[in-house]
Amino acid sequence: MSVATQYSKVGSVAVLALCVFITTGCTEKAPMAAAESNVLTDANIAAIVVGANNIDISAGNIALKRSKNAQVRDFAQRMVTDHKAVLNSAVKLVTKLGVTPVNNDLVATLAKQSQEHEKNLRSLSGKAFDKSYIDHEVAYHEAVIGVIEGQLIPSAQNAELKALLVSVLPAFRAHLEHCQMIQKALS
Amino acid sequence: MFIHVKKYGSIVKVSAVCLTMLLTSLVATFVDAGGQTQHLVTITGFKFVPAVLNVERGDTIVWVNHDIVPHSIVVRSSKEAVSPVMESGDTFTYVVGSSLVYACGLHPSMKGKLAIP
Repeated sequence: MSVATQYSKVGSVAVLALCVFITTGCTEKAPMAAAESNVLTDANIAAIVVGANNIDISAGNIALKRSKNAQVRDFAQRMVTDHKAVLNSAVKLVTKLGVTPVNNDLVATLAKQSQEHEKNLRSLSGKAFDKSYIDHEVAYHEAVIGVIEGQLIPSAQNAELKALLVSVLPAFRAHLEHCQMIQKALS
Repeated sequence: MFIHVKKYGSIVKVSAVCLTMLLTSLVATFVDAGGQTQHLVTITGFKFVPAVLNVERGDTIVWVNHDIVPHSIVVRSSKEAVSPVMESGDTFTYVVGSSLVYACGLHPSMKGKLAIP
């Protein structure tokens, strides 16, 4: 099954773009404007938020084990600490709201792509590792910001869930600026 | 007619009190009982609010972290620590000795400035 066919079930160009970016580390902008009208429930959104944060925590932990670059290690520690805080906040909210996260194709795809990315990271070391990790972080944060703005916030039905999504955007933007600074320094 | 005037007068008084309370809560700078000027800088949405403050030597700055993640204050140029890491809900108090161009030590895109005119 091709990647495009695999993701078409999700029914969202933006979501497809996120997955492709995660796979390729491509830094081009996602075709957000072309996003189709997909239906994401609050339970789906909760699962996506949990999955997306866990992916970055996991990659950060690998970077902390493998990188010797102080900037990269500091950034990785930020990702672990900040995304754990966002994750805890999201879990607290969905627990309060009684929303049980429901996995969909996107979450499964995210998990699969994350495993492939982590496998690649574990095969690298030194500057090659740092470049791969940081390039991917830039692409990942750009894509996640696009999906939160273009898909999750418009789709969220519960006001508190929508407010949470709005409140986490500055964190993702600050992380993006941070890893872009490191990407520039590495190049 | 008098009743109406009195009624509107009460509304005006109540509105004035509410407005005063609102403005007081929004003011970032105030003089304490000891005559010392204190400035409040709120950390929210990965921003220092206000980002730029005009201060005098000896003024007190209180940073309050309202974000869910930790932040810290460092000198922007040297990265020298001004504050320890402030967890969510923590505050840090600092007495101004000179102008300070600062950033968050954990999130370098967050920038602020204490300016002595």
